[in-house]
Amino acid sequence: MRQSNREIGLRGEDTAVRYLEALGFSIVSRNFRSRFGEIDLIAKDGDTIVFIEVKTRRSQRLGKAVEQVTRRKQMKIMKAAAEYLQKCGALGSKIRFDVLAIDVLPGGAERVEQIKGAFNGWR
Amino acid sequence: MEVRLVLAKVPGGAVLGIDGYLVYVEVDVSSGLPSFEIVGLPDTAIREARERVRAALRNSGYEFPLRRITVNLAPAMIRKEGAGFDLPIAIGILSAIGEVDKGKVADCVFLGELSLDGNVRGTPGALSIALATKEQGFCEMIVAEANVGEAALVDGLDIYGVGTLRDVVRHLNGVERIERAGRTNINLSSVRAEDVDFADVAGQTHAKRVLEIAAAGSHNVLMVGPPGSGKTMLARRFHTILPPLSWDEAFEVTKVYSALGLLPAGNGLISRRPFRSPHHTISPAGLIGGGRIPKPGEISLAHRGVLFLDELPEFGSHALEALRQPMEDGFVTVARVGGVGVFPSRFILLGAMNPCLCFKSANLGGSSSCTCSPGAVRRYLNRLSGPLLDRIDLHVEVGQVEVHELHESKDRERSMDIQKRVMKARDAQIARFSGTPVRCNAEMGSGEIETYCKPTKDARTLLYSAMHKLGLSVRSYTRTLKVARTIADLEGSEGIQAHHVAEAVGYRMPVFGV
Repeated sequence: MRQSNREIGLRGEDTAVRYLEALGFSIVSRNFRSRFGEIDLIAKDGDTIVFIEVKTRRSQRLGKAVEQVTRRKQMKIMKAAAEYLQKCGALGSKIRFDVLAIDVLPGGAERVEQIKGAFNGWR
Repeated sequence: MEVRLVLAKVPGGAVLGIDGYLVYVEVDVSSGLPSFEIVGLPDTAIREARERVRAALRNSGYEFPLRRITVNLAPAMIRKEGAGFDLPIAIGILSAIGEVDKGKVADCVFLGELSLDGNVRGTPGALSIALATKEQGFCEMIVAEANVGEAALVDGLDIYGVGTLRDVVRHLNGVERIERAGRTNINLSSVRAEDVDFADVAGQTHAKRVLEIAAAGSHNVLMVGPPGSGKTMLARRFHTILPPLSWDEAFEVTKVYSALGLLPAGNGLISRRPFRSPHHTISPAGLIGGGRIPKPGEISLAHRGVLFLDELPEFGSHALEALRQPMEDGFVTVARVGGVGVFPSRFILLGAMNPCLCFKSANLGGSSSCTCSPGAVRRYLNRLSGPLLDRIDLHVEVGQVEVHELHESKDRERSMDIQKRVMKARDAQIARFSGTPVRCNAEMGSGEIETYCKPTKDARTLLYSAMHKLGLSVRSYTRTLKVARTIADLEGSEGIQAHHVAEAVGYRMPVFGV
């Protein structure tokens, strides 16, 4: 039976958490909401706060997962991140924006691709 | 944390005005969200290369890398235009991802626009870019098949014409080499095949004589006559008596046409003298050249040929006055925000006009049917400024043709015979000026006039008195001498005799008392 978009999203985020923890990241927050938008995962990589957008795709018929993080989505994440930093008084910390692209291959296997520093607000 | 994966550098080229220059297309493919940015002052057409390159790569069977692609056009400070960068960008991406050997692309200049299906299209200015390619020490150039003719005019450069992006890749990888294009070669003296002829024109022997002198020495002409007398008909046949282009001249002309993308399909060389007849509503910029990044105007398209301005007084005064400097110098400098262009402008100005506004006067002497007031006639004629008329050496009246002349066609001279005399006179000039950049009498500077225009004593006396009586300027004086030199050349005479000067002065007589 086909999973709903929400189910596939949650499943992707679970995969992402396992993947990141295996790499030594410590998860700080899941689904941080602000009035600008939502940040899927916030984690710490050493002393760097990392804001992570998880994108999961079941089929590549309409393109790969990495292609889906649009400029508009990036802006939303960056604004939400600013709010988060202000809330916990961490405005001076080192930060980074990563994208975790999870492609669910036919047969159920998952392929995870992490793009570190995927965007930075310059362009 | 950005890991730089690959960088490729592919030579390309662009045109500024009519001169080509090389541009290095640097392609960086790195990790990051998929993006495709072009920097280095690209214009809109280059920005849109992103979509063409993406589609062309996919439709040619290559994978378009889903990574962060940055393209830089170096030197970054010159504003670039044109779609000729599509091919070097595509090759840069392919070599960055390893589809093409990186070492193979550094020694060759690429030029071409891509269509979405991967075909390579021709772009303007291939000749100028090929010249720049050679100048910069490259020996190879890959262009669209449509551009091979002009690019192959350049000596010492291997040109490869390609049809599709796949052809280029297969050629570079050595899978299937493309054959080198043969050098373009055309016998210019055999170019003829005009479908018009001077023999078509009835009467007007006087005007024909004047046009012959103009052709022989490259002098400017103004024809004045009532409507329907044959001014336009004569003008449209003028180029049939001009000498054929020399190789160097053809090259200069082709450069202008190539830069504007106006080369006709085929051999790639402009082999006939241009004949340009812009409408009188033309703007100064259209005539002289202009644009944010300057482009040549009609005078440069008429380079080494004829600029025919029909209804001369109807042209805007700004446009006409702007002609003065280029007519004198043989080139024009157009400075704009986006750059400075220097364009060649050695043309024969051929003007035609009516003697008055009512168009009824048969001759300048005034037939009774003219209904214009003397003031109206003066205002009409005053639209042409003295300085402009001063630069027109030959003024000629083209009167109405008598009806009986229309049917006396047997003794009319053919263009070819007139052209023979013209070429004889031109050969004398080329021999005289050999070793200097001067090619004909009209181009003589003061030094050449001093050396080669020595009138006899009688001729000198006549010229002095004419100068005095007509109040000619010094420019008129030297111009009259040049025309006399041409008349003497047509006659095969070494010295300038009194009757040569007399005829030359006659053409300078202001036909309408301006």
